[in-house]
Amino acid sequence: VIRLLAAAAVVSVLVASAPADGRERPSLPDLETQVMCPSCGEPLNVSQSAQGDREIALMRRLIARGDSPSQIKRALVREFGPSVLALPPARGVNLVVYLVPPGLLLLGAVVVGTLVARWRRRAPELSAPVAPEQAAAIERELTRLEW
Amino acid sequence: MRLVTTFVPAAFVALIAYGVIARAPNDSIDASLASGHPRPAPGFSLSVLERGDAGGAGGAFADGRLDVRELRGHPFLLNLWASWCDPCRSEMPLLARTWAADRRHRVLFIGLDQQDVSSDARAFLAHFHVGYPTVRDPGDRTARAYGATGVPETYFVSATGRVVEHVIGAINAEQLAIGLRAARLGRQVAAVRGGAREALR
Repeated sequence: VIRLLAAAAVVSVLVASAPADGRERPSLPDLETQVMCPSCGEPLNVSQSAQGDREIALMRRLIARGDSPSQIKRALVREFGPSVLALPPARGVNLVVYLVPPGLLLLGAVVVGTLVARWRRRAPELSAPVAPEQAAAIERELTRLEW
Repeated sequence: MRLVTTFVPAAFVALIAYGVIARAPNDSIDASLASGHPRPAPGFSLSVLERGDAGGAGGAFADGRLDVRELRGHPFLLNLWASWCDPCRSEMPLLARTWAADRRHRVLFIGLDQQDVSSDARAFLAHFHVGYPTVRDPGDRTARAYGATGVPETYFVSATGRVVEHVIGAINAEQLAIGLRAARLGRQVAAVRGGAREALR
């Protein structure tokens, strides 16, 4: 019974903390890291330009109006163009940004793996077989030295 | 594999060599003005923020968009600005006053608002009683096409579509008069050479 009550309490807390309309709550500090100051080419959270201040003021108004983060980003794109987004949307030519780095990483791993495999095949035998007469000579020498 | 290990480094070295050796032609507006051969104004098609009074070119703004090709035959001034920019604030009264004073509107004034919040931009236009049309460049594609380095900057374009004068920074009355004359005449009337402005014959 106690476990059931505890589980019910946890669930009720989680439900109460979620937005009533199921939308993500916008946070100005979070949004500032996701958008750019187009005039200075810096993320908005480090920008100190007049244009950035206007952008932040607009975001504050949109947050106060109850817009979701995605609505706010769309509004910013309407005002400043797609370059206002710190991460470009993953479609069209922008896919290059997302596909090329992991593709290059994969290609590099394949090249390194292939080269390492080739070098290992070419490596000389370290333990060459010892001829019986050599083995006998070594044994005699060790006996003489009272090893 | 041999192809990759040979071709990739070779292509990389070739790319670096090309970057070092090749020189891109300088076809910027400023270079063309310095050489005395004004180049055609870059094209654009932008949404209209405020229609204002465009004089005889009002039809170009009727559908809510301005395509620069619709201005062929009309000399115009293109002023890049933003409401958050202090030098824009200082030059705007001169532009608004000059436009209002010229009833014949021989040279069309066009404001190009960029990197701005549209409500701030409208408030700015109302504050300075700007009567000429203004378009919006939500990104800065048009500004980059013109080679603008910031705001404010002003370009003067002749009736044949060539950029005949360019002013960087807040424009003053003398620069405005020179630019308007150049736009009306359809040719440069002054050029900056060696850091000094010289009159052209």
